[in-house]
Amino acid sequence: MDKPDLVYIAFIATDVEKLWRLLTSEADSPFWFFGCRIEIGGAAGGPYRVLGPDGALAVDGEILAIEPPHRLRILWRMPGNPLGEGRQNEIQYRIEPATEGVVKLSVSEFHHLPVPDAWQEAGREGWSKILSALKTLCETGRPLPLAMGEQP
Amino acid sequence: MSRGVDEDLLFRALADPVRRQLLDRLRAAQGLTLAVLIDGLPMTRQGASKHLAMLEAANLVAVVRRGREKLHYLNPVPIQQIAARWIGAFEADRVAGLVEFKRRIEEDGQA
Repeated sequence: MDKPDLVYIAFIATDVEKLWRLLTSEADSPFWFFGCRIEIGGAAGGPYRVLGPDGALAVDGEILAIEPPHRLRILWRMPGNPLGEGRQNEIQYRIEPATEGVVKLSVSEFHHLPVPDAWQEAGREGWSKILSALKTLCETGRPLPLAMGEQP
Repeated sequence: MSRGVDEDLLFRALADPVRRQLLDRLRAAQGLTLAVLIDGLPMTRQGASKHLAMLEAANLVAVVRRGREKLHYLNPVPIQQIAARWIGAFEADRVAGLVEFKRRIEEDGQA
């Protein structure tokens, strides 16, 4: 197994299928992704795009692996490759049962290109908010009122 | 796993200078084995293991097993949840205050 560079975890009182649906729903994505909308194909090799609230393309990625309802791995390619050319970085979502009625959601970053400290800082805040928003949405059905910070 | 239990664990885990120091180290460099994490710190492996178990129980440290190695990562998500709880509420109050303010000045305007 390759070694992740960063890991974020949330424990959420929900079931695996419900969280998977939320994570892969184009319609629901703005409620947990800073108003961004995802576009996601159904199979490996398919697209994974993130569109900002203004419709601008923020991530022009690709599904590397999709195993519903447990694992989604994405090539996190940003238009213009701002981190450099070569193999782009990857994000992996994993959903596992934890205790009775609780699931563990983890997001791992795999860096093939170095990520500047300021980006890591923004990512730390961004992913923390995204996971918190997913938790609140799953557990209460209400979106978390997020301050619009930097996107990861 | 109720919110209360989670938060008790979280605050207990944070209420110790050694554990906060371990979190500081993981913030600077992530994915560390226990040996690397405590290198140069005046603590035993056993003592560090106990601290890390508590941080993991509070979900402040994420552990990834790779072969026989355990890698440790800082997980800031629970701290964000604490912030959202109070900062979110504060913002909601401020919005409510603004709505009330707008209603009052509009009434004044009509008077």
